[in-house]
Amino acid sequence: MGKTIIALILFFVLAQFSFAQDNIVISDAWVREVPPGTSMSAGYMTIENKAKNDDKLIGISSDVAESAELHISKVDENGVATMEMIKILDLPSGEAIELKPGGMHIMLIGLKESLVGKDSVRLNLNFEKSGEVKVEAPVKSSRSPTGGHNH
Amino acid sequence: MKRRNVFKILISILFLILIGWGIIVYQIIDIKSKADFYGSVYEREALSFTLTDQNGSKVSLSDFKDKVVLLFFGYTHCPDVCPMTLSIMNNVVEELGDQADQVQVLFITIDPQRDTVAKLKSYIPYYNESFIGLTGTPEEIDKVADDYNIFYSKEEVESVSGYLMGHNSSVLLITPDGEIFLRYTQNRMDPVSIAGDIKRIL
Repeated sequence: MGKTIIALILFFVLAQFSFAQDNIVISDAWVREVPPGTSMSAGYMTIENKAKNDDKLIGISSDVAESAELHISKVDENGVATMEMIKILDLPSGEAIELKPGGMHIMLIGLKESLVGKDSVRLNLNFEKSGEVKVEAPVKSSRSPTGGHNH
Repeated sequence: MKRRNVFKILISILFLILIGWGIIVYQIIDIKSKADFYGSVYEREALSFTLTDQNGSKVSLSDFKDKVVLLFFGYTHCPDVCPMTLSIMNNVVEELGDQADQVQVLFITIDPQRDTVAKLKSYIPYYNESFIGLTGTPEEIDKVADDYNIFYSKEEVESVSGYLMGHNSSVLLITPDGEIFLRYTQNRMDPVSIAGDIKRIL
């Protein structure tokens, strides 16, 4: 009897856990490798809200950077590129938002270590309803494999 | 009567030859103003400048007289657009293969306050060792940006990143005869197509 109750409790706890994990689905995450000594980089991914309720991305952090913020690059008709900070990103139920180069990106500010040679970077995304979602984002080189040896 | 016909035929042939030559000459003269380049045709004089490269040497535009120059303005604290553009320029150079040495990529900082010679040295060659990063005094940078119609401004944002720069992020293609011939805005950054334009010009 006691075992059954524990099993049931465990089942519900686990079920809830996996349900919560499925609310927010992160795909195609990556972080741009930048030259050693560079203080800034950017992370990209697709964030999908599969929950029935709307959610909001309210904060980001990473071990490799002093701070992380969501920004969007905008290029006007004259070719002038500017960035705007997005403090809170609305994630309507059922929608996927793409963070990509030249658009929305996670700005990694004050890199504490070089990303060169690192396989991946941990990004912690904090959602209003779904709580914290940890993302292991592969580091992708900005140059092609032969880059820097072109003559 | 017969002679007249022969004369007519000769005149016609001559006429056709002339038209043929006309078309060829027209194509040679007009090859640059054709609208089917991937970049948008800009056609302005590339004004001369002298700035300091990542090795501390003075570099002038005239140093690359026999090359196609890909010139753009940016800053090393730029997290998104500038690394993306540098990475694309590397792809363009790789795409050119044997002709890569006939192209010079120049990156001019619009943030000379933070982008020193040493900073550029650790930043620019990472993308491609042939790339040249240029800095100068704020006045020198102002002058070049103005000459090239490049708007930039320091933007104090709420972000903890200190300050960011708003800047014209287009890549300018300068021909060996010193003309800013094409311009690539951020929505025209396909490396294969850019390399295609360069191959046509070379």
